[in-house]
Amino acid sequence: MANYGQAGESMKGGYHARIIATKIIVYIVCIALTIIAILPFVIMVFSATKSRFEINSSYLDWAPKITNTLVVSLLPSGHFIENAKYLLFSKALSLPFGRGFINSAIIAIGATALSVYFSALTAYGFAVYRFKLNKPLYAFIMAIQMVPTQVTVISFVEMMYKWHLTNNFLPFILPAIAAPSTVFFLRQYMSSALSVEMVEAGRIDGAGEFGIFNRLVLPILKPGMATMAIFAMVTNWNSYLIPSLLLDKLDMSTVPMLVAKLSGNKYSTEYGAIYFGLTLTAAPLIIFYLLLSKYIIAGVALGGVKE
Amino acid sequence: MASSFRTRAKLEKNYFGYIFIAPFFITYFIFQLVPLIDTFRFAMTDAVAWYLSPNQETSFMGLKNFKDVLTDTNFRQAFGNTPLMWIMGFIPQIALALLLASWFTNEKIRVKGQGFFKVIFYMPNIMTATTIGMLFFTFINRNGFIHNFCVSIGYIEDARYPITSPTFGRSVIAFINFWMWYGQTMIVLIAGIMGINPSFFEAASIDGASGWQTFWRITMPLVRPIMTYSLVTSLIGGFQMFDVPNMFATGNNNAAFSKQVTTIVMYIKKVAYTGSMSVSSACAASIFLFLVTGLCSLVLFWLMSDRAEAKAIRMEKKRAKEAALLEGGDL
Repeated sequence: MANYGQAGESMKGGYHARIIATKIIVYIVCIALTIIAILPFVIMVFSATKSRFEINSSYLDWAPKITNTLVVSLLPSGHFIENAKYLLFSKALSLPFGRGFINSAIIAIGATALSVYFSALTAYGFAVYRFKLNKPLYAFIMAIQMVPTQVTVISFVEMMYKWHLTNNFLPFILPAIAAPSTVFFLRQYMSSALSVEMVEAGRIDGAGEFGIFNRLVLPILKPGMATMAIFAMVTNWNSYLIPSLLLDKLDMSTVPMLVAKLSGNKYSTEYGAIYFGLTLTAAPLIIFYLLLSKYIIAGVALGGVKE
Repeated sequence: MASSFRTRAKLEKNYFGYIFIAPFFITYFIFQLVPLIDTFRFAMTDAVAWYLSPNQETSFMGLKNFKDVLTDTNFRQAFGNTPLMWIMGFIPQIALALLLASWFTNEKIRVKGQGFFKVIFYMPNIMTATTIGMLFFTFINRNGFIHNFCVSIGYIEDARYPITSPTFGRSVIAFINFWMWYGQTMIVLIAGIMGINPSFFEAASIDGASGWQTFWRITMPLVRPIMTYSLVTSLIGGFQMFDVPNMFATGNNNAAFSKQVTTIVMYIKKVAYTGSMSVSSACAASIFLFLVTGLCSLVLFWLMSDRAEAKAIRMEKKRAKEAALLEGGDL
């Protein structure tokens, strides 16, 4: 009996040691990954405070050779305002970032509002009404989710040229009405959030079909719509390929288009200004993300489980 | 009497379904289906960009553009680069995501600060890909962080020149893809593992299965559908890769380097809007992109869906659920 107890004890001891060892490895890996995730942004912000000269020729005698680069990158300096002036106001280098933020906001907000409202409308149509083509049309929406959008980029751009919609924001806002994956998500969401009795009660009260949707259903779908809105917002804000093909006036450029201009030859040695521009465009997204991270992470988990 | 009245009311309302879904289908038709048909149509003509010649007369060329594109070395190069850079990033991405997901869901390890780690690991995914591409391009450019590090370890001898090795460029792009996406894959896999019935894990633990055995015998087979999903969406996204490599290619003055990081979408854009602006050839290349992503998705689904019974049960459940909902919706 005593022997048995002892054996159990020692087994338990080894087991605990193994768990602790695993735990240590897990935390080391997670901390390393945290550093890797953040480091590029930290270097970006610190580099935005440096002058071209400092970035060109910094070397520290006291830091070991291998870590020298890292140490140099992580030392702040005092040229942030100067870089900002360079990129925002100088004659030779300035880019209209203020306009860019407004343009990107118009596109992102417009596209998000349309995609979320009309996706909810579409999903509701499939969820509540029983019509002949319900199943085949819903299957069609499931299927087109898989068609890569880049395949039609050229024909889409050609069509917009033909319709004289270049240097216009409508080509980025209107197509958002048809967002298959948002429809799919909201359709799934409705199956748990929406009760049919409620729709029926609305009808008995004499509300019209659109009235029921707008006044009774939309408020209930708000959490699901907010999740989709966050992702639509980010996707549209970050979109680069089609805007770069349809907007050629500098004043109509979106933020990603202005960032892409930083790779031009006239900025080739203006490292401080480049890093400032990158910080300027990254900062709002980082703040947006940190404020909404709870919902974003939950949304990623939800969106991924779909099939 | 009352019930027949209700039935009639029901039928009268149901045409609203068509009204509610109409905006979606009209928009889809105009902005996505017509361009898709146009892509096939243009590919068989000699159309050039509208910008170059508006209202042009085009003539029918049959399959000539497809032949031309297939024999174009630049297309072949782009067609090789794209899946190569994708797979270089995807293998570490899925491996690390699985490892982290199995740690984070392990009851015995009970990792603290999971919420924090998830937020941090997912963060790069939300950032503008163009900004990330430009940032890393500046890092590998002269006086950049990675460039200077490579000088300090002796990887490059002359600090005055940027790194022009294509392998290096591709590796950095693959790293960026990995870095931007492993957090997303991890969160998706965690959600999948949490969805597994806990009694499976309890049974395994009672039977004395090790963590390793539990992972391979229980977790892996059951998250397989979700892994298929991640794999397919990542593959489709990978073939469409554009923003990040585009920054590497346009920022660089080295033609050979740019060529080696050119992706299919970059090739399509270049053919359509530079030089002779051959929209028709670009559309032919787009159709190859369409076919190849479709084919890969089908093959992957087919390869990874051998759990036929599990799937059948799930489908049955789903069908029952939808049927119930439709019944319910039928007022």
